[in-house]
Amino acid sequence: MLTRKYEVVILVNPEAGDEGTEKVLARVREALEKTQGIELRLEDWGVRRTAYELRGLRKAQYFYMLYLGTNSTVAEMERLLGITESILKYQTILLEDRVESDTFDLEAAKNDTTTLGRSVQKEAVA
Amino acid sequence: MKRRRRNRKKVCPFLADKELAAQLNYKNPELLLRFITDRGRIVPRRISGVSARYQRKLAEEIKRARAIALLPYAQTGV
Repeated sequence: MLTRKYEVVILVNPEAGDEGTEKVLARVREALEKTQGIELRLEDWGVRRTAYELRGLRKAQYFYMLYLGTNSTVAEMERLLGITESILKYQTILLEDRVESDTFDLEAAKNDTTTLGRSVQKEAVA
Repeated sequence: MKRRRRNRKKVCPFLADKELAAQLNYKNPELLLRFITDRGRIVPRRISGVSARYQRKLAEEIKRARAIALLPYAQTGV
């Protein structure tokens, strides 16, 4: 299938706890499933201090997901994210247009990490 | 009195270092921090010496980082 490569960063209210974050991830995966999107990688960037207040909070739990999908995947995902109360903010970015999902190298995308993802992993090890 | 102008041309840090250019991304706020003032404004390229091409990219990435609270929006009215 001809798809596009997207990434989404999601800011979750840290007070929502594990249940809240699980719900968020379930929503995201639901959107992917409905529209035949393919999850490439999920990163947990941990709870970070935000640069400005969001709903009176200076902290947020960050998640990052890389996926293949179409415009309807993005629409559905953003719809679901918008109606989830524990979500403070989200941002989707188009990385690559016209990606053939059947021939895409899934493994390479899986094994890569972003700078923020790496810094969290380092902390977890230490 | 004669005003002396600097005559050494600034070099774009991203053109000078390909690896640095590859790291220019909203997911790398530590790098972007070097190109905003303490009030959060984007540093003009006449000061930083960044090339036009990379200044466009830099501005885009700073704005993306702001949207997800990795970087502050400019403080106004201080």
